[in-house]
Amino acid sequence: MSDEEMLSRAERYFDGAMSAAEARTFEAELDRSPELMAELTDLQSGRDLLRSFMDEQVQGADFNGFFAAVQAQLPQPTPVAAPAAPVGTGGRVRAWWARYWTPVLVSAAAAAAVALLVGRLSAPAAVDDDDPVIAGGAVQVDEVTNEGPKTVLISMPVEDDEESSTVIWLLDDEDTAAGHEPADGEDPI
Amino acid sequence: MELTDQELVARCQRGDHRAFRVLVDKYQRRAYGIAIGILRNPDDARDAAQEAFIKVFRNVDGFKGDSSFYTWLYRIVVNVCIDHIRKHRKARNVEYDDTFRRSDEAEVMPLSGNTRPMQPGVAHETKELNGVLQEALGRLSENHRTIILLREVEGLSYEEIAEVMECHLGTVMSRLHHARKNLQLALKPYLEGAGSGLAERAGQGVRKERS
Amino acid sequence: MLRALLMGLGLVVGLVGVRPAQAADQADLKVSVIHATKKAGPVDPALARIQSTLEKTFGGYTSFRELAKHKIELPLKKTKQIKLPNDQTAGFTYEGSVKDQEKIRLSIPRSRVDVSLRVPPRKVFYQAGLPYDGGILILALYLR
Repeated sequence: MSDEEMLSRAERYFDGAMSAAEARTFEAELDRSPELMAELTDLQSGRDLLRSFMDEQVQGADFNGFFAAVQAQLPQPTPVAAPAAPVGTGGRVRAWWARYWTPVLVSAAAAAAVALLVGRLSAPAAVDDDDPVIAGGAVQVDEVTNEGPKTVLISMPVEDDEESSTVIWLLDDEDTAAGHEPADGEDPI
Repeated sequence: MELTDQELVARCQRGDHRAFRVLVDKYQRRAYGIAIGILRNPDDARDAAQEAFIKVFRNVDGFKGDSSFYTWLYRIVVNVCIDHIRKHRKARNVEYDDTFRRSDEAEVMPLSGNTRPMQPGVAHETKELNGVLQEALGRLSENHRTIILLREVEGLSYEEIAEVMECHLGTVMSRLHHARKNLQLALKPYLEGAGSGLAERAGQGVRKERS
Repeated sequence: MLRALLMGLGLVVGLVGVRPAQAADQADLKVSVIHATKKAGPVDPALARIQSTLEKTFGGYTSFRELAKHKIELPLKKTKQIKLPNDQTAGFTYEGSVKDQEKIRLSIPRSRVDVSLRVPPRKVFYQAGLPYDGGILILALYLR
């Protein structure tokens, strides 16, 4: 078995990716193979190092205010203000206000809440993690080999325009010439 | 009684902000842990983790429960981090800064409160080791760094990693293998000679371990 | 704890010393095969999220319809081909990663075109222009 194969098998065992039968076979081999045992030990050491290191990074962080910062960027429900009672005319008018305006304002609040909910449901999702990131950027063309009759045109994204992308065009000659075929030797530009 | 993630998500979908708070409190450290592993800067990692939770809140209605909540969250964290790297790489005009940037650069990141304070010599060696690991992680590609964090630190299975990184199982396995190899290679230059003494002491450790 | 850390490091050093690294990588490629024409048409729901980008990138084309979507595993240095609606094939070869970029080769054999690219992961790029049914084919390519 090559070193590469041995490491791959050790990795699969180490990662718990072997079936029970495979694992039993592997464990039997472990007893006979110091090399396999060394591979496993090395994998464990590497993992322990990384975990220890990353634990330190997290433990040193301050999470005070973490949720508050998240919450500050979330949409808040629209508050419903209670109507101000008219001044000075006593309990009967206040009761009239309460009877008439309160149901109207509660309905308005409910409508606003529904509108908010509908808006949230129908708006395009801020992210769909299954979607590619459409931003343009640095696709670098290393080499183009064109032995056919088509013209290859590479259009590169516009700097700072996140929506523009790299396009590798394959064009027929009629797409590139403006209706005029240059004669042999004629400078087309 | 503690609610499951599914129950908390269902409550979030019904508009329960308190349930969302519980989810944030439960997963903020893990989200931060992935972010700092990928971004290698505490401020950026905190921003990325917060942004990820904001995206969770905004998209929770679309979460169908096909995957576990944490693999969904991790996917969002990873995507936010990679977007961040790309945007900031453009602004820098140089290769992405591999060094770990902190406001208190002089100090080693403190260990948790329940460890004994180290002797000065030991603290220095740990700082050196941390520097080596930071550099080694920094040399990995984003994909390799992410996959090794998800597997080695977060303990995700191959299938869970495939969900987070939206790739095939075969790709996960081969990338993980490649990442482990690359990490070892990246550590190598810092351990051979170079006067740090680490390699020497490590060699003695190996001989003792294996004698 | 430090001793354990140093021993771990030593074991890693030992491992590095014994075994040369070999490339063992693969990538995932998502290909969306899109038919674009200059006729008016409804927005294909499958392309709704990139509709505006398509209109901007392929100015003059007003209708975009996804004909097929492929998800391809690309083991290192092995070419995989997909069949296009115009009976041509497009070939893709993953050539490994270079720090934060993935190298990929795209070939259209019948047109005898071969393009070698370095692509940051998760960045859509396109191949376009093959004539098809009154319009053109656009391949939206997304490498993971």
